[in-house]
Amino acid sequence: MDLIPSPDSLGLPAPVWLLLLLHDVTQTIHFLFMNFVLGGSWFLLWLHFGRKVDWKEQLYQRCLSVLPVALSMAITFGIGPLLFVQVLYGQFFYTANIIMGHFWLGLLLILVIAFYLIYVLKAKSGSDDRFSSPILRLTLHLAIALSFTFIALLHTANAVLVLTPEIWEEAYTGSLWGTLLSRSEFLIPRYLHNVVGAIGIGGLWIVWIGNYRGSLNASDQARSGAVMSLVATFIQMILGFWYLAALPTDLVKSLMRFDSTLGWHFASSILVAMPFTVCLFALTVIPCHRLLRWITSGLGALLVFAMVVFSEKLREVLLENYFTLAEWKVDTQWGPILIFLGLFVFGLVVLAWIAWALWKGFGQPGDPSEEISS
Amino acid sequence: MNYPAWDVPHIGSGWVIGSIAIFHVMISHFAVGGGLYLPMAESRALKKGRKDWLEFLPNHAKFFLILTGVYGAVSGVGIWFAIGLASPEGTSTLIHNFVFGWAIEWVFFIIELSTAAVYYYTWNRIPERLHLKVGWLYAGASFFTLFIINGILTFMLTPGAAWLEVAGSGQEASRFFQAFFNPTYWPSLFLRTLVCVSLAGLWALVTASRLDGNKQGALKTEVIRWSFGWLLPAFFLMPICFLWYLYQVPESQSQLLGLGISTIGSGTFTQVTRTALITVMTSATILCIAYFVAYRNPREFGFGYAVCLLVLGLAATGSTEKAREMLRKPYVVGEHMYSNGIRKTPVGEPHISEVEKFNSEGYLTQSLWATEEERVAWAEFDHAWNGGVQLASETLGPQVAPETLRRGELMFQGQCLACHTRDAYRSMKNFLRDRDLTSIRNMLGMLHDYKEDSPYRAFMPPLVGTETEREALALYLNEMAHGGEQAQPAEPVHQVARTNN
Repeated sequence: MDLIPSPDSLGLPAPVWLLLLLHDVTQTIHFLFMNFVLGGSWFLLWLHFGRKVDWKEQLYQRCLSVLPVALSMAITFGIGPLLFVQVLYGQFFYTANIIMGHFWLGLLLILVIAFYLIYVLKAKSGSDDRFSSPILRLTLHLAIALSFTFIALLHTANAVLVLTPEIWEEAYTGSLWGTLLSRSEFLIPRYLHNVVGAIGIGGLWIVWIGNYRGSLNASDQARSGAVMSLVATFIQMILGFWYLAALPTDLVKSLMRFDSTLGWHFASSILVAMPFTVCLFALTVIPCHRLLRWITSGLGALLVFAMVVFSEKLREVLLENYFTLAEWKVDTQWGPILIFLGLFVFGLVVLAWIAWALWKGFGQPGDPSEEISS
Repeated sequence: MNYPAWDVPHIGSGWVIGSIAIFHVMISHFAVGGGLYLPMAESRALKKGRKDWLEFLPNHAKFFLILTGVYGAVSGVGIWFAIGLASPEGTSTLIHNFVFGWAIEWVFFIIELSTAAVYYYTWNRIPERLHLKVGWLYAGASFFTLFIINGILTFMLTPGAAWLEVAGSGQEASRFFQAFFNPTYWPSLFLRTLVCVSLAGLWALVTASRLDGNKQGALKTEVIRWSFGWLLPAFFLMPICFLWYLYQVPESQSQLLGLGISTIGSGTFTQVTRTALITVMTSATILCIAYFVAYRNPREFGFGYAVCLLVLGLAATGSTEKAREMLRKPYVVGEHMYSNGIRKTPVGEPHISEVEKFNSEGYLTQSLWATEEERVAWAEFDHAWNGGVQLASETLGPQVAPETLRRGELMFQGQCLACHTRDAYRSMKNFLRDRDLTSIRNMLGMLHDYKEDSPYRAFMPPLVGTETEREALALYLNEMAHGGEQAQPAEPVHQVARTNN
């Protein structure tokens, strides 16, 4: 018997394209913040060993200050895709969640612990208030980085379960991780692709932080981020081939022929990835070049968006034997949609105003990093 | 049984949601009330030129940011995760009806979190008026998060006639605003706003308790007395708002509370009444402690006292939320969907409710989570039953086929597990301890027939399924409760009903 629960009888409150667009945009923003959280937590561990060098110490303090804010924004922007995926693929998503059960809920416990551990690190990171035991500090760093890496694994496992209803029964009635790992050819490359990709985008954040005003050896700080990003991007490309090889053969052939929408999405990801990599390479040479930073970051954000869109299209294709989005009955709630879109624009204006207030605030005399970390 | 069951041993899925929600409610309401407290206090301090207040407030803002920005945000997502696991059908209904309501709330939430961070980090770094504006912006955004989520929460209790009229027809989306501004929306909004204001005062007492009474005596006295004032509106206005709220709750729901109150003399409170009484008692205790210990002796008001108040506040908010949840029984969406995800209103074609459909076609024939082997065995059981073969289940006890027990277990998972556990919280083993198989069958029969005068009707959904499915459930429950041993004679049904409600 087909294990797919029937779609909700209420149908969709908006056209599929709009829900998909909202999902993809919010998912991209979520990823941009999340990538710094995951990549940055490992970068901090690396920096921790070099804190006797002044510029590394400064970069360490600044990254540590940005980390909780980025995490907070990653969680907040994660709500958007969480809403829209439930509307579009609720019957798959809820089932995957239930199969993962305690692991799925446990993810949040790990998240909140990691969040507070960051605050512990921050509170103990001042020059006169350090942990007496470097091993304890190292343990905290490892705990934070491993927590985020494990959370990424849980999210990837969930995404894989959503895409593979054929293993639901086995995973539900038997061992979840046994079932997933027995299909590791799909889970592992996808997971590594996500994690290494996060380190790649996380590196761009370091470039910006390194270039922040008042930086000691700004080029060294920024270059460390650019190198991290470039190396990760190269590794991610190799992993991308592995991930591609894990997909069904027909699908891969179709991708290579570019004769389907999915193929075009794939091509557009590659088209964005190429100039992004070139710019990254240039950034390792001239890491303080302002225009180059903007261009590389823009391409990075565009690349994340292209990958999100490709990933969404891939989900549509892999699930088409079970369900297609065209099967949804649509009854559009134009009133609430217009209010939402209006407020969304209003929210952006408010965020811009907040950014202006921040700029004004940190334009005052004094070292902003000290203020933030206080 | 559209979705697989999320089986949480001992505490049940309800308590998983509850244990996240109780803390979340306390902190999220503080986020709204505290958002009002901070700019008001700052504005007051600026007008009076009080530097000592302006030195105290950033500490409160920091505490506020770390508590609401971290735990508040994560626990909010936690509720999402938990309700999706425990009640996917109910969550799906809510999300498909209100996704843009939530999306609007999300916009305000982003503004809320951003302004909270900016408010704290820009203290003494931007012009005072601009800083105050950021604070007021936070206050407005956080209030609107309450304004939105209140519509969805109250919808679950009272979806309103306009939405129920079209429920199941596929036209639900057209009644978004009627469903949102449902009968209990406004009283609930006022109630929750009062709770937010009082929690702002309560949490401010915690920060103020850390001030040194000897060195900062005047400041501590002023802050505590001013914060105490934040508790008062709730104590005077909440009873009125609560009566207004109850007035809007359908009689079928509010009768549980009424029944509990009218039978206080004989000691047979309903659980919802008991829980509501905890709210009243803890709230009154908070007021007394806050007045006699904090207001009258502010310099001696220490952190320990503040934590006690906080714990009482947690008990008050927790019990109120619990009472609200119980008031909704037996529904997850009032008059539309029962707490186990079965829809009462007709959905699709043929135009019959899921109750009728499952009774005629079978509950587990719709289930996706049974194997083909199990289905074959069930068909054999049905054949034997329909063929008139007497299944003397008492003698079958130890030899009940595993497939039959599995069928009973699936019935239990699908229809009982949302509220009961096997052996701890609302333990089935306890409820059935003194019942033999015949008595269990009788009880299930009452739940299935769901007559107007049934004592279970006020708080339990009907039991659905064919005769043989119900028999399988009876055998499974008997096995669970007695493990094949003979039970003591059954207790009277009305006594069990009283224990359950």
